[in-house]
Amino acid sequence: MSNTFKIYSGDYSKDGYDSGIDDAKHHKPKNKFKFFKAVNPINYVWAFDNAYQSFMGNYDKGYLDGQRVNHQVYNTTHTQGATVNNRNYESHLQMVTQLKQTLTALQNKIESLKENYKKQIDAMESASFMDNYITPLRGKYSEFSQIIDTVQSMIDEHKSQIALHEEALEQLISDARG
Amino acid sequence: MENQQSLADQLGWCITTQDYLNDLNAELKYVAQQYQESVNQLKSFGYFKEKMPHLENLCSEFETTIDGVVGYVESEHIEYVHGRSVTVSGVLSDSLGL
Repeated sequence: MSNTFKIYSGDYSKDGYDSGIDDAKHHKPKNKFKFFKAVNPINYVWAFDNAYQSFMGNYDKGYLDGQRVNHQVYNTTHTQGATVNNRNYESHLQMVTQLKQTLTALQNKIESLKENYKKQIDAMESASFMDNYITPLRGKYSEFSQIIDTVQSMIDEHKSQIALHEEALEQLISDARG
Repeated sequence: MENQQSLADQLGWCITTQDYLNDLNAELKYVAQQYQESVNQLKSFGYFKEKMPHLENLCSEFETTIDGVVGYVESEHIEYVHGRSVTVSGVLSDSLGL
């Protein structure tokens, strides 16, 4: 639009929109005095109402769009829904991953405690004390060790089952991102 | 004197071993609780209804197994070591004239 036609028509919609979006993008508060800088002085007397309304109305629209861009909130229902869903999927994924990590940490911990128990029995044997105690304890440890191995296998199985939830969520997040 | 030292070592052994076993049980119980909390959290954060039973069943299986293991460690190991520590402690007290 030529400057002459803008003055003649009093159409400052583009100037208003551009100013609004610029202020919002730079996190500035609304400043409608910009109208007086943008408008040609001729429009103070010619087509003032139209110049004022076209600038102000579009300044607000531009400002709102700038805020949407800043906060990544888009104006279609579909995209908003996708953004919200994606956030949920990510929270769910975080929880599921955390659970799997907790189980892995438990596996390390119980393996180390099982090993410590064995070291205790070995130390007792090498110190040759409690001779009458060692044989039954070896038997008990052997049973204990098998039980702990069963627990480890169960945890492995649980981790692989939880990984299926993780994979499904990763796929949903990827789909939501398009 | 040598005998007293040996008894003191045995008592130390019993206490350390009991600590390991108690740690193991505490860790198992803690993770079972964490498991339950994670599943509850997923449910309250709107995780898929159709997928919740799978996680709930896993959690329930985990809890049942862990309860069994904790009970087993307590009755078969902690009590056994504890019994020994009571005996050793008694003999040591006698030998020290306490």
